[in-house]
Parts: sequence; structure tokens; C-alpha cells
Amino acid sequence: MALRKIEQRKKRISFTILSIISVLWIIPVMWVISTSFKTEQEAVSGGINLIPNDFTLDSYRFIFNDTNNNILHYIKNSLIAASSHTLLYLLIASLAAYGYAIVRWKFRDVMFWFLISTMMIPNVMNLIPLYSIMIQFGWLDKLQALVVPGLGGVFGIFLLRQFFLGIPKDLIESARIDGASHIQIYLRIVLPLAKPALIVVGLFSFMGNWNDYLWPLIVLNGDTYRTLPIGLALMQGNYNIYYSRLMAATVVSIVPVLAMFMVAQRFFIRGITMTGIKN
Amino acid sequence: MSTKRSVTDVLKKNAGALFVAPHFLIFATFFIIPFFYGLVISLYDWHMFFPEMREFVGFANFRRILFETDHIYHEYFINGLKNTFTFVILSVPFLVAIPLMFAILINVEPKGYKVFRGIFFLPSLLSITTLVLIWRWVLNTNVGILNLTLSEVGFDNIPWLAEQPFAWTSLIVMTIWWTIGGNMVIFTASLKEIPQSLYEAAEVDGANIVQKFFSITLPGMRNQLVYITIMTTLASFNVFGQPQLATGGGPSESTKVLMMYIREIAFGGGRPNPGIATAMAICLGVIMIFISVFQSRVIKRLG
Amino acid sequence: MKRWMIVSLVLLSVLTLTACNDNGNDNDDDYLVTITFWNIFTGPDGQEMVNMIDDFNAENEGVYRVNTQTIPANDFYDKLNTVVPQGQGPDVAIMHLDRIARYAQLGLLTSFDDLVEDIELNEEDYISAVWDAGIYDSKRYGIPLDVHPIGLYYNKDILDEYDVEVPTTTAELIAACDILNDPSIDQWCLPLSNVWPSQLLFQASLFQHDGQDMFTDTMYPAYNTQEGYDALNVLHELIYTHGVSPENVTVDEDLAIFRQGRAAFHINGIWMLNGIIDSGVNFGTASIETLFGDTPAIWAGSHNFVMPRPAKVNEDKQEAIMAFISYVSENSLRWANAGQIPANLTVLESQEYLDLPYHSTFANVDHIVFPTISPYFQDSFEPVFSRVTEAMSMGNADIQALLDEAETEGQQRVDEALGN
Repeated sequence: MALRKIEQRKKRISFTILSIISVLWIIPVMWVISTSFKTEQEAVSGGINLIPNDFTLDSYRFIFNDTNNNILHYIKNSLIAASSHTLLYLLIASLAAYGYAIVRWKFRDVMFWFLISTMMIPNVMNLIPLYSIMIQFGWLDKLQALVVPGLGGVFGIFLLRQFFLGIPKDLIESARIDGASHIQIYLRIVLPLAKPALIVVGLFSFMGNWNDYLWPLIVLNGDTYRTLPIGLALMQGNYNIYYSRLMAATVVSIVPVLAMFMVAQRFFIRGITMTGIKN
Repeated sequence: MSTKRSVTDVLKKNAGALFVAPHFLIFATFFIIPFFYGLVISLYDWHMFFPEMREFVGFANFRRILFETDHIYHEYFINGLKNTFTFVILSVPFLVAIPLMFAILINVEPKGYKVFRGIFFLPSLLSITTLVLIWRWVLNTNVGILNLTLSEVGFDNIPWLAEQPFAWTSLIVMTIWWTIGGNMVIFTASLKEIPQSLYEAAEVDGANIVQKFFSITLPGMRNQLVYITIMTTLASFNVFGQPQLATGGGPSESTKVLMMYIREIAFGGGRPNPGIATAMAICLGVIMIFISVFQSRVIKRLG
Repeated sequence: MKRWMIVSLVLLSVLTLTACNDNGNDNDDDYLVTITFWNIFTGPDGQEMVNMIDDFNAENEGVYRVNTQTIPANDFYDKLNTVVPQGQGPDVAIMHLDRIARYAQLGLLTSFDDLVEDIELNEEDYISAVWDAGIYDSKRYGIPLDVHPIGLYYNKDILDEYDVEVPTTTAELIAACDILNDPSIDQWCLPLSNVWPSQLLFQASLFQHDGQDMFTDTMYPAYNTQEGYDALNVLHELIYTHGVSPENVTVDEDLAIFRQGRAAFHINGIWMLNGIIDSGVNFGTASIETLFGDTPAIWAGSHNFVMPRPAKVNEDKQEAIMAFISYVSENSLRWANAGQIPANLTVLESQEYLDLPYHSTFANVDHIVFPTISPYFQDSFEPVFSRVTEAMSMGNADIQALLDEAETEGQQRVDEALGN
């Protein structure tokens, strides 16, 4: 009973603190949303009112009706690119992380830290050789250019490795003694236990690909595979910033990933306690 | 018969290598090649467009930026490095502590905790241009809402982006607002991995909040803390968009970080100098490698 | 867990198989020549260009076709830098005037020299300053599309209310501001941003004081002179001695104040025209040619057509390019609607152009002065921009010291660029 009361008190204190902080935290975002529903004149006038004086859907209508830029087509392209990239990356990165965390082999740590070190050097000039490789592979203006190069990313491997390291060694050992192959351990023990980590990596990977702007800009030429960030940038003039439309564009580009995040939260459940799992 | 067994044997013996092979193949193609491309360039007086004008200079670029005190590239390197270090030192502690605090508070699962998580995560979905647009609106000296609110309670207008120490403060605050979503999510996932039974046992022993935090929570997150400190430090060393767009490196180049100089030198001016730029980037990278190794050792020792 | 792995593998195979499909260009075989054109005219401003291209394609159906791609201006040069050296650049593109010398020197542009005669384009057809500016190293690399000068926007209602005339000199401006400036009702005479576009105002002021930006022989900065001092000091004093502007105004804030109807004057480029029309302010335009000094001079930029170096020279394509360029030039009155001043003299002298309400008063094109055309302009002149910002944002700025600093840095950068 006493434990319950402590729990309740904790929740109330936490709720209070979080409420205060989050109100301040969300104000700039509220400005974005509210400006997207204002008329351009009101948006330009720079008033600080969060509720539009003249509520309008004009900016959203502009975005979705622009004949030069088919927004729904771009959203579709971004979804396809980001989803394929994410699924493939989860597969490749989790396999590699398993190899760097669980399996014991000779060059394991050397290789791993080599990977990490290459991540440390800012790649200033990498656009040029990457573009050249795209030409040689014939991937210019194709979907592969958006999906494949990023699969070499190291962050997911790093993160998953750290999570895999936390899996109790005796769990793995006893499975090995029982004759399980690494693939079986990977599929039946490690992956299920690492679900929250996989969700996190999947989320970040999706976000990274979804928001990628410069690389698709360079490697795509036409409209066929054009992604959302580029499409939205094309709607903006160079000097005359239409604030309302700009904010509406921002909202449009955030909503899919935010929705994904809210759904993904379901998987942040308290992990099955690592002790006492029988296979 | 014997060949079949030896194939499986080979596979089993090299299991580790096989697991990492798919990634490594892709990595080798798309990361290692550009990586070595950058290394090679740093040893040259590299003309971007005319291969025949490229001249091998060995370590001259490195010597120039590190030691030639009256050369302008040295001045740029030192100023950029100083500003980048300032940003790293000022930002990283907050970028690790604040999301940890949020993750712990939300982990208690008060009412609407999923909404709270969403709110703190949202800013990380914005593009850099939107971020700066928003914060310029907030921080504008004459018509920004922050100063308007402050003047209601009697403060003068503060030039948030035009004077120190406000410029650094602004850059750090907007970076925190923008990026802690990621770290918070990772902390959340790692908090879930710590068995509840450990906390319950500790409570029975009479441990208070602080003791529980330092003896259960932190050690339980050791592995992810390594990731978070290294990656957050890496991100701060690489900072570019915020100073470039929000303060333009000002006032008086006091927020001009190394990445800004690197990009300018690599692509700008009458004679872009990718050799110098990559040499600067490599120096920055080497510094980061040392710091990362140090960080991971410290965290392991604290465990 | 296994399910998404199967999904991934299926996806992987689908990806590799289907993406190998050629998209198939639409009907390009029907045309004699297809050329690719890259421009930076995004958003509503770009609509006119798109219309012109569509009309050109319609008029030249079966003969020429222009495939256009718009790229956001901020990233345009990054893309060019990456693709042109690898032979993947467009056949014709738009480039800012101040970049042409650099790209020409780097060997990334093809000269127009032989082609210009074929279509009878010559200097009589264009504003002379901008026609001359497209030349680097005695070769022509740019054909001008437009000029975009800076000018004065004024709030007619405020001027009428106080019965003030549009100022044309510094003295007149100060006098006008004495009357029009009224911080108590939140009304300002001329808010001046200390970042963009202060660089442009400084350059205009420099030329109006008969100063020079850089020496064409040494490439060194040439503004650390009495003229340069006066030019910068004028801007500083307008803010701190005469109080025509609030302090610490940043980019777009000056524009916002004018658009909200709280400023009498605003200096910006003609490219902001549509944005100001949209604000609903009752405004007029005037030239700034002697607003800071005695010598009439107006800063302007210009969009030019250029031909990036192709992997292989194709004469048919060159013919199409020239046809396209002269078509757009002849029809560039339409381009005026995008907030630009066409470079073509015939258009500028036409009645339809003169009838446009804001364009002809905006700037006297004869007084347009372009910055020195040189690949080293950025190295030599750019260091002064941050000092201009300082001079305009600090009441106790030491103008001479700032100019000295800028000159030193500029010289060092030029030395480095020239390999001294």
C-alpha cells in the first residue's frame, strides 16, 4: 500500500514538473502550427498571437494543389525511400551488431573501432566520390541512390552493439552449450530482447532518410523520385518568404514521422527481465 | 561427405566475420572510398576541377594550419577550433543530462506521459532552416517574443544573437531544444532494460532517490552512456547549421566554428583549397577520436 | 521477428529488379534537339520562367525542346560543383553575375564567343554595364537575363501625412527623418539591418563616394581609403547619430517593419517587389543613386545565362541554346513581373514596361555599377562584410580600425588565393 502511495506521489510530482517545462517547450512549435493557419498578411505582420485572427486553410490548399509540384507524389517517394532504407538497415545493422557484440572473433574489436574512427572524421569532400560511384553504378536519378549508400552507416551498429552487450552472457552461453547456432541465437534470443533498441534505430534511420535534403538534391534530376524536402523547398521563392506556406510545409513534413513516433511508443514497454528466460 | 561438413565448419568458424560482412561490404564501397579520398586530398595542393594542377605536398597543409602562426589558415584553424571547443564544452553536459532527466521523469509514467514524450521529441523532426527561423522569431532583439515578454517585467531588450555571452547562450539553448529528443529516446529504451527488481530491492534496503540513481540507474545504462556521450560530443564537434544561419559566426567571428571555416575554404573564394579543408577536418577527427577513447574509458571505470 | 526480415529480403530483390527499369524519356525522339536548363527560380517567382519555357517549347514543337529543372538557390552551386566536373551538368543554366569569373577561371564554363554573332545579340540590345560584365579574360561567358538593383521603397501614406518628399541625398534623408521618425508611436524613418542587405548598401555607398572595391592589378582590397571611410561612416551615423533606425535590426526585420506600415522607407532589391505588394502597404519606389554620396551609383546583381562545360561539345545543342536565350530575352517583359528588371533595352524602352507602376522609377539603369568582375572578389572584398555589420551594430565602433582589419584579412586571403 505504501509503495502504491509513493508511486502516485512520484507520478504527481513528475506530472507537475513535466507540464511546466513542456508548455514552454511547445511554444515555438505552436507558432509554427498557428502561422500555417494564418493568412499571409497576418503571418507577415509578425504579431505574436498564437490564435489566428483569420483562420484559413489557404496555405495547405496551395501546397496540395500546386500543379508544378505534386506534393502527394513527393510524400509517396519519401515513404518508399525511407521505409525500404529503414527495413534494410535494421537487418544489416542488427546482423553486424551481433557480430561485434556477441560473437567472439579475432579482429572484432579492431574492426569495430576502425568503423567508429572513420565516423569521427568529418567528410567534407565525400559528395564528389559518392557521386562518381553513382555514375559508375548507373544509379543517378534512381531509387537505389536514395536507399543504398546510407546502409553503410555506423550509428545503428554502435547503438545496437551497446544494447546487445547488456544481454546476460550466461543466456548466450547456455544456448551455445545446448548447440544453438549463432543465427538461432540471433533470431530467438537477441532480437526479441532488443526490441526497444531496434525501434529506436528504426526510428532514427527513418528520420535520417526522410529528412535528407542535400544528397537527394544532388543525385536526383527529375521529378520521378524527388523527395519531400526538395519538393517543399521548391515551393519557396528565393527572397519572398511566404511564412504561412513555409510553416504549412513544415507541418506536412513533420506529421508522418511524428505519427510514427507516437505509434512506436507502444514498444517502449518494460523489457522482459533478462534473468530466467528459458529457451 | 567431408566437403559438406567443412563448408559448414568454415561458416561456423567465421561466424563473426559473416555477420558483419554485409554491412562491411556496403561500408567499404560508400564510406571507406570517400574516406581515403579525403585522406589523399589532405596531402595535396588539390585543385578541385583540374587534375593536372594537383600537386603532392606531403604534410605541408597540416604544418601550415597547426604551426605557421602568421598564416591566415592557421588563424582560421585556431579560431574555429577554439569556438568549436567552446560549443562542445558548453553544450555536451546539458545535451546528456537534460534528456536523461526527462527520460527518468517520463519513465515514472505520469498521466499523459506519451504526450510529454512526443512534445520533447517533436523539435528534432524540424529542419535546420525551420529551427533557425523559429528561434530568430523568438530571439529577435526588437520584436521577438522573448524580449517582448521580458520588457513587460521591466528588462531592456537583450541582443540575443548579436552580443556575447548571449550569442553562445542562444546557440546552446536552441541546440538543446532541437536535439535532445534523440538522446531522450535512447535513455528511455535503456531505462526499460534495467530490471525493476533491482529498484525494489534497493528500496527495501532504504536507499533514497540519489543513491538509487548512482548505484543502479547509471551503471545499468553504462553501455548506452558510452554511445550517447561519444555521439553527442561528435555531433557538437560537427556543429555547423546553427552558428551559420542564426549568428553567421558573429559577433566578430566569435561563434564561427571550425566546420564553417572548413566549408568556406573547401568551396569558396577564388581558389578553393580542399587540401587545407580536409587537413583541418582530419585534425578535428583525430582530436575527437582521442576524446572518445578517453570518454569510453572513464565511463567504463565509473561502472 | 522473422516476418520483417522476409519483408526486407523481398524488398531488396524488388528494389534491385524494378529500379533497373529505364524510365524512358517522354517523346524526346520526336524532337530534333533537347537541351537541359537549370535555374534557381523557385516558388511563385519562377512561374513566369516556367511559362516562358512552355511557350518556347510550344513554338518550337518538333524542333527544339527545353527540359527545365529548378534548384533552390542556396544549394545550386553545391550541385554544380559536384556534377559539372563529372560531365553531368546541364546544357544551359542561370548563374549570378558575381560567380561567372570564378567558374570561367576554373574552366567550368564554355564561352559564347562564336555563337553570339549567329543570333545577332550584341551590346546595343543590352544595358551596357551588364553586357560588359559578362566578359572574363576577354571572352564572353554570360548573356544577361536581368539586372536586380537595390532601390528605395517608400510608404506613400506616411509621406503624405507629414507632407514630406522623397529624399534623394543624405541631407534630404536626414531632414526627412527628423520629421518622420517617431519612436513613441513606433514609427521609424528607415530601419537598417546590420546584416543582409547591409553589404549591398555599403557597396552602393562606396561607389557613391567614388570609392573602389578592389584593385584589378593586385586584387587587393581598395576600400581602405578616405572614400571607404566616409562610405561606412554614413551608414554608421544614420543609425547612431541621426537615429533613423532602431538599433540592432537584423535580417528581414527591416522588411517586416516596413511591411507592417511602421516605416517610411525601406531599402532592398527589386526582387522584394512582389513581397511588398502583397503586404498591402500603399507604396512607391525611387532610386537610391545619390542617397549616400554625390556620385550616382546603384548596386545591382544580375542573372546570366551560362553554358557549363559539357562532356562533349554538341553543335546542335548550342544552336538550340542560343535560340532559347534569344527567345527569353525578347520576351523578358514577362520576367519583369517576377520582380526583376529585364536586361534587354528594347524591352526597357517599350511602353508596356514604362507603364509598369513600380519598375521604371526603381532605378536609373544608366547608373548601375557592378562590383568588380574577378574570381578573387570574394577573397578580397568579403572580409569587409562582417565589419560593416559591426559598424552598424555598435555605437562606439572604430570605423578606421574595422577597415584596417578587413583590408589585412582581404590581402591575406588574396595572397593565399593567388599563391603568393
